Amino acid sequence: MKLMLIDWSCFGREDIRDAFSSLGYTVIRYPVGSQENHGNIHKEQVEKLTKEISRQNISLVFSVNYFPSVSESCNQKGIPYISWVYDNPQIQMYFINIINECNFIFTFNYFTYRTLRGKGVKTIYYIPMAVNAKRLQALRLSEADKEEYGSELSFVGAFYHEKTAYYQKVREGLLQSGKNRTAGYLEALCLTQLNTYGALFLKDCLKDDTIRDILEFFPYEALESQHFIDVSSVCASYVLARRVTKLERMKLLTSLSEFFAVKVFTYDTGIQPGKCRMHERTEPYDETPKIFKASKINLNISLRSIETGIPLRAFEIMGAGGFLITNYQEDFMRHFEPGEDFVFYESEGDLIEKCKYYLKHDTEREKIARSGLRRVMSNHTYEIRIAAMIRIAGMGD
Amino acid sequence: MKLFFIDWICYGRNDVIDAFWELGHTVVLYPVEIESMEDTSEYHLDYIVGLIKAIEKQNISFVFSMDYFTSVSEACLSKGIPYISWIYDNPYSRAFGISVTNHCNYIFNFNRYTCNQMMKKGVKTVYYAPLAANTGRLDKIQLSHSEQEKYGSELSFVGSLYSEKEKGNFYKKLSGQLIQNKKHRELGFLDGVIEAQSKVYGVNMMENCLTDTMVESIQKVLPFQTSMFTSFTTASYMYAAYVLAVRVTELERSRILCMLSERHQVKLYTPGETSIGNCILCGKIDHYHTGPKVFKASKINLNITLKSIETGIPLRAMDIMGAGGFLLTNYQEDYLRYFEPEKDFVFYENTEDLLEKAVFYLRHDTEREKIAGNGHDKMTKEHTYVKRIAEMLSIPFPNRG
Repeated sequence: MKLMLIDWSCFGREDIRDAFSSLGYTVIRYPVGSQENHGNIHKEQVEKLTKEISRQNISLVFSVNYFPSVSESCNQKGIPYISWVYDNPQIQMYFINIINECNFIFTFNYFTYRTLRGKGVKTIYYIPMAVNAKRLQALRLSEADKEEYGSELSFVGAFYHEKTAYYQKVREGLLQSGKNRTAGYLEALCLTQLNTYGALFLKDCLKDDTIRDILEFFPYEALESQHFIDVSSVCASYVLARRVTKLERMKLLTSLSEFFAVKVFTYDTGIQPGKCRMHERTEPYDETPKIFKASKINLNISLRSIETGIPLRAFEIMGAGGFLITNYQEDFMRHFEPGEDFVFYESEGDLIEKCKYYLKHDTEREKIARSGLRRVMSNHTYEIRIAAMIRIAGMGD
Repeated sequence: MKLFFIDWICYGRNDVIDAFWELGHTVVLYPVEIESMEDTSEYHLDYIVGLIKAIEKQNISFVFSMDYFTSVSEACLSKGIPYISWIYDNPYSRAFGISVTNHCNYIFNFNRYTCNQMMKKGVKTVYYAPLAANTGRLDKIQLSHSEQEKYGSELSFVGSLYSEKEKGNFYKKLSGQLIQNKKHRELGFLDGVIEAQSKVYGVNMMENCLTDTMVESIQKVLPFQTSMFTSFTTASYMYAAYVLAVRVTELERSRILCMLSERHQVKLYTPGETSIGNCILCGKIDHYHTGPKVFKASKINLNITLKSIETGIPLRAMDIMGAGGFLLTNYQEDYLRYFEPEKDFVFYENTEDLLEKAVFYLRHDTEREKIAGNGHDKMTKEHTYVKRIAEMLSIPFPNRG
């Protein structure tokens, strides 16, 4: 059978292709450039893709993240469209046409699944992310690699510093136009959320007049067609949650760097949390895993708009055989044993204590890393995931 | 022993006095130092001298007051007799003055959190004592048929909504001042903290979220000067407790009562005139005589604690259980030291949970009455004024009783 893979620079690109191949599919790539141009239904895109599906005799289409135009083509051709959404929120997956019968939309965030099912969307499913642990195990660290990537503690991730710092733009706009009260209000929401674990309230605190003010400086053009999401969610996720995440990552890394040797790998330039050693973001396919292997402790601080899901980073850390310490995310409890496969922290103080403890206790740390690795190797491979999705889409044996 | 009871219109006045008599002590009433509670907690020299003389003349062994008064402590210190105070107000700024460390002091606070904070600061005169109820008196109160009719309700709430208190409502005062001074960002910030706090149960984040720059800015329009009378607190605590917590409570109480009154019969006993949803406004009541009747006649008695009380069990909750009423309350940590949830009382975790539990316990009379009975039994056994006062006395006078 022929599978069309919507090809863009997403995670797991090669691993997903390999998984389909090993399940007996012939994989045809369909390049789309970046996903940003695909936020809406574009007639030309739909026509072009529909023709291509017919010409190549495609029986199934797959993409990472959801593309409304792709769904239209599949719907016309009557073939299943599987999408695996790993951005949260991915604004396109709230598009009105997600209810198309051809759709099998898999989200890694149980909260999103629960919310959309609650709204009557039957095409949404929950499936966690995965990792090609076998491939990562084959990567060897040279002495130079150990020097380059190794440290007591490492963090790989974004600080939403420049391009995606919507909060900063909104704040400047508000202050310049005399809407100081709203600026102060948003400032307080970020600060209170930063200091509160285990409760997300950003969205619930945004009232109509606040949202109106935000939208003046955060014009989200496609909002009208996103039927399954509230404007308050969009503002909370894109404007506030990113800000809170930035503040949180800065704050935690700054205090950690007082106690430990911390390396930070990030795209963002011009930031310096405490005494952390800053490195440029590494190539994710075969370079980043080396960080996870070489570091004694790998830190995950989830983006605050991910309500329950396990971020991809966590899987990759465990798949590389690294030791993972993470903030609490509900979905971990569905698939992993805390204290056995990974460790979670509940507060800044707790994080520091736990890092101290696990840096002192090599055997325990290594045991947990090994257990995490075993768990992802047996339950969370790309083959297992792809096979499950195909089965749900009715294409299995 | 002979004691001075510092007399003011405090909660539990008669019950405490009765408890002392019952324990075999002689209670002599002595007037409070200040005209009104709005007075700041400075020393009143004339009062101190007067009290010292009276203590000598009447051969007093110790002094007792509800809440704490600086001048009383100074007089006791000078006479070398114990001063026992029982704090039931929160926030209570007088309990943060430098005089609290006087070694004559035995300051009992109903809020465990405040005790811990003070102990961490090295204060050795602070103890934890939960509030109490005079179950003996409450048990004798019988409701006539017409009273049953008058006070009966599916749900009831007795307490302030704060909106009516123009004068004491510091939020209204401060927000007005901020607008006048064009400090809109500060006002927005406070509203943000208030809104966020009203969405989160079980965590008090207000004090931590008042940044130094914010406090500095507020200081300029509504000054709070730290001095020797506030040694054990901070400006951010004072603003959080006196300004923000009251506002959060105001919003929370009216939201909850609105919501409940849409589906149930809710009687509201509060001083204000403002209508809240479909609540039946019943005005202010006398806590000593009428309060217990409300608690006995209502199927469910609500407690929505003032947000500045971090862990303590408020007096209202003790009054409800003491009267044999069924208590549905927000979560406060100190409950779990003495009471079993779902057995002696019921707590809710958020508004949805509250709605569900109200429906459940209105439908299940047997369960509800059993819990009310258990709560009352526990109060009778462990939380009477006589028992509590005896416990307090055993600290300064370990060899008596």
